[in-house]
Amino acid sequence: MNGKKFLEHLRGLKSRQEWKRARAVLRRSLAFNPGGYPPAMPYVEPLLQNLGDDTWRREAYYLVAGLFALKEKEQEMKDEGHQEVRTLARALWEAKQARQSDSLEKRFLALLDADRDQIAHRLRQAVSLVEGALDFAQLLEDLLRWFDPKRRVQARWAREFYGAQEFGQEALAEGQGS
Amino acid sequence: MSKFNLLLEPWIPVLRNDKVEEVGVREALVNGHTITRIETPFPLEEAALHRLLLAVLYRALPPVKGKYDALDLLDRGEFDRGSLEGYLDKYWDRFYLFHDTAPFLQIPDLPQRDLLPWSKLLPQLANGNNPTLFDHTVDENPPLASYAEAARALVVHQSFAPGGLLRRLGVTSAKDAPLARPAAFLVMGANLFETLVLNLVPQGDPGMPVWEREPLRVKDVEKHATKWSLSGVSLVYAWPSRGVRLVDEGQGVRWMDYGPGVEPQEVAWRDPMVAYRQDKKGSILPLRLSMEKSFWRDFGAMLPAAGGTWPAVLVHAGELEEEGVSFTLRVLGQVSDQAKILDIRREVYPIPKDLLTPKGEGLLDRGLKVAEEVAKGLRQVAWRVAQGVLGNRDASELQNFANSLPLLSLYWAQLDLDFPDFLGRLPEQGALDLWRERIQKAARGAWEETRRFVGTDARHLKALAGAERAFRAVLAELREKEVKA
Repeated sequence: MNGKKFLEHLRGLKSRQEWKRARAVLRRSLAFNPGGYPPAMPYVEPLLQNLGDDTWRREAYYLVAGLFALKEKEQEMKDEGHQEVRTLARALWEAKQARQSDSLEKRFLALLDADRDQIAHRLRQAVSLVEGALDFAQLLEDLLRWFDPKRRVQARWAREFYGAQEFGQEALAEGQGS
Repeated sequence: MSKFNLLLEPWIPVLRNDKVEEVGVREALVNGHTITRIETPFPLEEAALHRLLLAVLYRALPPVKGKYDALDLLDRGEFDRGSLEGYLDKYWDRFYLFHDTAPFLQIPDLPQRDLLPWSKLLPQLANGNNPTLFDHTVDENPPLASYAEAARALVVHQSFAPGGLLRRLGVTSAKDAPLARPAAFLVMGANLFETLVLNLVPQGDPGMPVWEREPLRVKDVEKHATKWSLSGVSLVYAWPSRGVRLVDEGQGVRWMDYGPGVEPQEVAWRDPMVAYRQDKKGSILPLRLSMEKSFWRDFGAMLPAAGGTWPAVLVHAGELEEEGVSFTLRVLGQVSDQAKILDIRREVYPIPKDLLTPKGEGLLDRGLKVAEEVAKGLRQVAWRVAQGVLGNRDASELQNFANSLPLLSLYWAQLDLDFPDFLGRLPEQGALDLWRERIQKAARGAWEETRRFVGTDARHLKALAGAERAFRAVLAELREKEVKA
């Protein structure tokens, strides 16, 4: 699975000396169009073989790498140790419950409707609204399928957000198959 | 002057040796064992033509008094030529489509005023501004019907004409023809001979058919002067509901005279091809086809447990089945609302051995109830979707939206396909389990399609996600029942 491999690669990076610099670069890359910040390339390109003309896939990888770096710092700061990873949709639901926030729901819906131009920005916003560990492997998988005409990823995210109490693993398991 | 004898001329479409041909009444009866079945794309023709043949048989043959007489008849493999020919020879003259004094199922001396196109004999499917039986634009140039076509239309009309306004010959309205409302059940055997024997339910007194009575004339039907009890198979199966006279144009028929026929008087008589149910007040009513559902969903109403009655043809065939005869069931008829015909249907069902036993009936009943319960749950899911998509609106707007979703129609459409298999497997216990599985699949499939139908905007995904919980609850309840049972 692409997601797992990518996560392993990022974790591998994390364990090395150069992680401090890599992390800073990846975080800064979020200010630019995904894949459009050359300093970040050495950390992500190695995984992008055989992509051909699919520019969205490249962007997705860069985006997730940047978000990973963003949250990783926060997670490190919190020093949470072993924490269960949740999907972004579920994490947003938890945040909504905690803050009783309507605007959070609006942002979630806006995220679901995001087109190519909007997705990077809205995703960054959404990720910055949640706390705790996120399932970045799943996030990459989902992003890679974001523009599928059937919009199954968006449908699953909606189910996770609106039915989070009951779905949990079941929803994930279903999602993997689609 | 007499022309086109229905006993002899070809007008009944049948399948024989894999080919469709038209035969007369005599050929259909005498050589019924060589004919696979009456073959017509029109369900109402199928019903009316079988009834006509049966009406003749009830008088032509020695009476069938019970199961063993029927079995003896089946064993012979064909109808007794002698009895048939004897009877038909006697009434030969009453079966001409055109006749000076006794045209078949018609009135010879109608006033020849306000002629109508012959096509008015065929059910006019109501849609939007489509008129019912009578409209006032009679300047049409109706197509020429062959004698065979006209004869078939006549026979269909006399069985199926819906009651309603009829301002002719001193009457203002006319009553339903015998099959205008009820669903007609027809049992099908391996060939036409077998089919006819299977439907030849023993009857005390078959009554006297029109062709054995004095020919009707205008004075008999003016102001509904003649009223007969609606009883006796031979009479009812070929009942003169309306006064018709087809006008011969040499090569075919274009116009006809039209007016009231004999008025039926309801008495305590059960049509062997009709099923009965009990309504909340305890009245016995004939089972009808309905617009919204395929007939199988009403099987439950025929069950003894619900106070219903199976149609006599099915019970009779069931008894014969115990002795090794097999058959399928056809349900035929029209769906009507007052004088408007909304739909015409034919449904075919395999009838397994032992269906009409307490065990078979019990399993059928349970199966139907489970399907209805899941449908009820799905209606609530549709409601939730409506609420999710529309938000705060009044109940009727929400209901309209919910009704526009394909959820229930897809669910039932799938079960329409699955039901005959379930029916065919009764009364095996495994049949019910398999049926529950099919119900689950049908529900899932319908829900998937509904989700696609609603759309994938965030707003719609939100509504669907909310309703999803209700949907899963419906499936969970279904599984729970499975476990308990």
